[in-house]
Amino acid sequence: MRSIDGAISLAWTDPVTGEPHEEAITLPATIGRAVDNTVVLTSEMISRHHATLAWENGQIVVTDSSTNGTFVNGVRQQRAVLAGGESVQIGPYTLSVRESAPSASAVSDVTLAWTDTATSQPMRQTAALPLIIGRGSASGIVLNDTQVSRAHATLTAEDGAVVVTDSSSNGTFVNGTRQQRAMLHNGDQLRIGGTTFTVTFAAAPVHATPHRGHREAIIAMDDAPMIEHDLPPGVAAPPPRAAAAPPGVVAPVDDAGQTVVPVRGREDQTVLGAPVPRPTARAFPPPIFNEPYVSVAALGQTGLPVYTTVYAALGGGFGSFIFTDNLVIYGVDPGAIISLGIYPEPYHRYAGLARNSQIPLHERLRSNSESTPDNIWGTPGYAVREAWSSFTSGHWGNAIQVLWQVFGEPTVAQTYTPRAGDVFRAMDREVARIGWQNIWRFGRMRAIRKTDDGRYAIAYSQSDDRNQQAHAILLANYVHLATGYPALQFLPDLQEYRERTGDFEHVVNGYEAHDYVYERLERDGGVILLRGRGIVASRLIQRVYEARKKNPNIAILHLLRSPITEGHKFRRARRPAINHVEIQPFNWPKAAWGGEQRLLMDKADEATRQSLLADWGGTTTAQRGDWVRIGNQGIKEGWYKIEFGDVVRVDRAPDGRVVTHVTGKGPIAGKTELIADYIIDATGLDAKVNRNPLLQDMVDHHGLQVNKLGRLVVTNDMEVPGMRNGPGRFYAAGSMTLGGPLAGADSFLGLQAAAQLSVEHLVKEHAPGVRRLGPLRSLSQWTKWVRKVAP
Amino acid sequence: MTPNLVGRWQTRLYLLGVIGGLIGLLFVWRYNSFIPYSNKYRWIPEYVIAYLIIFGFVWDIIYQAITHLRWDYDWPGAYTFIAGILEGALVFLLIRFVGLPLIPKRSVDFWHFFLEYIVVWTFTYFWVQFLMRAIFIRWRFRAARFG
Repeated sequence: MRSIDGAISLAWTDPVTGEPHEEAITLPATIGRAVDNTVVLTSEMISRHHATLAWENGQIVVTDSSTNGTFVNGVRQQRAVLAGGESVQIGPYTLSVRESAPSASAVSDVTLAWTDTATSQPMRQTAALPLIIGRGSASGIVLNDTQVSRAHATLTAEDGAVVVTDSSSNGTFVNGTRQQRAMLHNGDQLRIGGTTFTVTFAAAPVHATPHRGHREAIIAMDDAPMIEHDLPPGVAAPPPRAAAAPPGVVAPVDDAGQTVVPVRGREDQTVLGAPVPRPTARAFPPPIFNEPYVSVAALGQTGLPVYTTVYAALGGGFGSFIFTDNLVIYGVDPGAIISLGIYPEPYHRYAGLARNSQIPLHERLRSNSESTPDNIWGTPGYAVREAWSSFTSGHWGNAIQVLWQVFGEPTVAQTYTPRAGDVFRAMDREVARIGWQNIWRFGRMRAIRKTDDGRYAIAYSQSDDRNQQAHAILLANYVHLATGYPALQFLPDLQEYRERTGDFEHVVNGYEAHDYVYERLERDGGVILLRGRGIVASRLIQRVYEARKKNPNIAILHLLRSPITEGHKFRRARRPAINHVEIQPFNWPKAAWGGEQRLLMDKADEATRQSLLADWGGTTTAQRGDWVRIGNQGIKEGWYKIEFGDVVRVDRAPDGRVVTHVTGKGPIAGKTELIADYIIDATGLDAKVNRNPLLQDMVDHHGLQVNKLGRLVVTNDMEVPGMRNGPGRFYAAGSMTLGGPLAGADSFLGLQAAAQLSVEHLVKEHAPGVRRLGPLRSLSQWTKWVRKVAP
Repeated sequence: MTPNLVGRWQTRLYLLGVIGGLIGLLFVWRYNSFIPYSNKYRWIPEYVIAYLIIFGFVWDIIYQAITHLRWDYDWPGAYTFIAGILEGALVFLLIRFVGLPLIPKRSVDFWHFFLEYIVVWTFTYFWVQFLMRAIFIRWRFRAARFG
C-alpha cells in the first residue's frame, strides 16, 4: 500500500483558537497528554499515553490504551486499521490521518513585494523556487544596486519550508538580523542591499514540517494598529501594510478607517516641550524608542507634542470603554483618563463585523442578558429592559416571552440574547453619561514603551492624513490595553487561492463585507460553499434561507472536515451536538465567566489552563430553535447539504466559478470536485500577538512572555507582568489575553470581568482616585446609572 | 447563576438569614395580632426560616451535584423555582407530621406557612435575580461568593 518509512500527516483544528494544525510524523508514534509522546494533546479526557499509531504490513494501525477511548469515525475502537482519510477522535480533538505527499511539492513559489529604490514604485513579483536574487542576469529578481552581489541570495524549498541562503559579500538580513541561512516565515522582511522584500508564500497544502504548525493565513484588518519597522537610514520603508499583510491580499473589513477624525483639544492636559506644528523628525516613533527605557527629558527635545494622563485606555473599543466606565464609577475623575482609538463610538468596529457577518441591528447577538457593556453591574439585564420596553409599547407577547426565556434558559426555554441595535443604543446612553466624548481621542498607536520615571510612553498618530505628520506622545501612569482582534483568520487553502488568483470576490471571509454575494444570489441563484461550523456559519445559513424566499435556486454546500456525532465531555457533563455542530449558548460554558470553571482557571497553571480550554472549547453554535429548524428543513428540501472531506486545492474554473478539490469521506468518498459560485470562510478572527505589529513590537522590546496560544501572559489581575515599571501598572483585556484566567476573554462579559479585576487591583495598589466599591457605594452608583446621572 | 457550593451556602445564608429574617420579623409582629397564637409560638416564623437555612445547606449539596451534570455548570432560574417548592414542602411536611425542635407537630397551619413562605421566597428570588448584583459587584464573577 505504501512505503514503510513514509511519514504520515495528522491534521486537526485547535479546540481553543479554531486554528487548523498539521503535523507530519513518522511512525510508530504515540499520542497522549504526557510530554514524552510524539504528539502531545492536552485535555482531562486524554490519558497520559492515549493511543499508538504504527505501520503493520504496510497499513497504519491505531491502538487504544486509554481510559476514555479512541474513536474512529465515531466508533470506539481498541485497535483499527486506517486506510487514510478517517477521523480519529481523542478527547476533544478530531484528527484527520493522511499519508503525506512528497515534501518537495509543498511550496513551489514565493511572492516578493518591495519598493523600487530608484522609482519608489511598489513592486510585486511571484517567482518559482529555487529563486536567485542578485545583480547578475541569471537572477530571477535583478537588483541594480552596487551593494548587491551578482548572485546574492538563493531562496529554496526545503522540507516544506522556504529557506534563504546567503552567498554575498554584504550580507542578507532577515527581519533586521544578518543570516547565512534561515528559514523564512510568511511576512518576513528580507533585506538585500538597499531593498527590503516582504516574503509571502502559499501554505503547504499537505506536508508541514513537524512542530511548525500550519502557516497562518492572514489578512490585516483595516484598523489594526500599524507600526513602521526599524529600518536603517536610507532604506525605504515598506508600503504601509506590507509589514502586516501579504501584498495584494489586503481586504479592508470596514471602510471607516479612511475617515479622518478631528482631534479634540483638552485644556486639562499639559503639553511638555515646545509643540511644533510640523515636526521635522522623519523617524517616528523617535529613535529614543529604541532605548530600553524612554527618557522623559529626551522626549521633550523631540519637538513632538507630549500629553500626560494618569490613566490611558488604549484601543478605544468595548474593552477600553468598559475599563473606563469601571474607573469612573470606582471614583476616578474622567479628566484623568485618555482613551486612544480609531472610532469615536466604542462599538463601531464590532458593529461593522456584526454587519458583515449578516447580523443587522434587529438581529440578536450571541450574548447573555447580564453581559451589559453599558452597565458594570449587569443589572438590569437586556431581557428585563426589553420586556419593559415591549410592555410599555403594548407588545405584551414579546415581554412575556423574553421574561420566560431568562427564567427558563437554557433548559426549559431557549437562551435569551439581546438585539444588536439595543446593545449599541444602550452604549450610547452610557457614553453620554460618563462623558466618553471628552475621554476618547483619535489615535493610531505606533509603539508603547516604559519610561525612565516609572510611566509609559505611547507614540501615536493623531491623524490618518499622511501629509499632516500629526505625531504625538502620550505619557501615562497606568495603562489598559485592549486593541481587539488584529486580523481575519483564513483557512490556508483559501488564503493560498486568494494569493494565487487575486480573486477576493468569490472567496471571502464571513467577517468581510460581502453583501453583494447575497444580492447576486437573490438575482441569479447559485451555490455557496461554506467552510467552518461556528456561529457565523449558522447565521449565514439563516441569511441564505431568507435569500431563498426571493430566489429558490440558491443552495449551500457545507464542507466539514469530519462528522460530529457527540459533543465534548468534561467530567460528568456533555455538550449536545445537532447536525454535526456542537451546541452551547455562548462560546464557553457559562461558568467559565464567573462560576466554578472560572475558579478552576484561577488556580490552574498554564499547562492545566490549556487542557481545560481544550475541553471546554471547540467551534460551537448558539442554541437557537430557528437555526435547528432551518437546518433540518434545508436538509429535507435538498438546498442545504453537509459533506465531509479534506480540501486538496481550490481552483478557478474557466466559467468563473470556484472548484474545490476534495478527498471526500462518506457519501462523497474518493477524489471529488465541489463546484460553487462563492466560498465563504466562517472560521473567524485571529488574535495572536504576532499578528499585531504594535503588540509584537512591545513584546520584542520589553521581552514579554507569550503563551502557547500566542497571546500575552497576564496575571489573575489581568496585569501584564513584564510591563510593570516602578509604580506604573499595565493591564490587558480581550482576545490578546486568551490563556489567562478568563476563557471568554473576548466576550462582553469577559471584558467586564477583566475590567473589574484590573480596577480592583488598582484599588489594592492605592492608585489615585480609585476607591473600594463596597455595598453602599455600589448601590448608590447603581441608582445614579438608573437615573442617568453622571457618576 | 453559576454558583459553587460555598457560593450557594453564603448566598443562602445572606438571602434567608438577612432578607428572610427581616421579613420573618414582620410575620412575628403581624401574626400575633390576628392569630390566637400563644406567646410560646410567636417566634415560629423565624424558626421556619432557620430550618429553611439548615435543610438548605444539605439541599445545596444535591443541587451542586446536579449542576455538575450540566455542561454550563449553571443553575437556571426555573430550577430555583422548583427547588423552592421542594424546600418549602419538606419543612412544612416535617412540621405537619413529625415536628421539629422549637416547632411542635401541627403547630402551624398550611395557609400561614404558605403566606410566609411565598412572601419570603418571592422577595429573595427577585433580590438575588436583580438587586444582588447592584449591591455586591464582585459576587457574580466569584461563583456567588462574597468578597
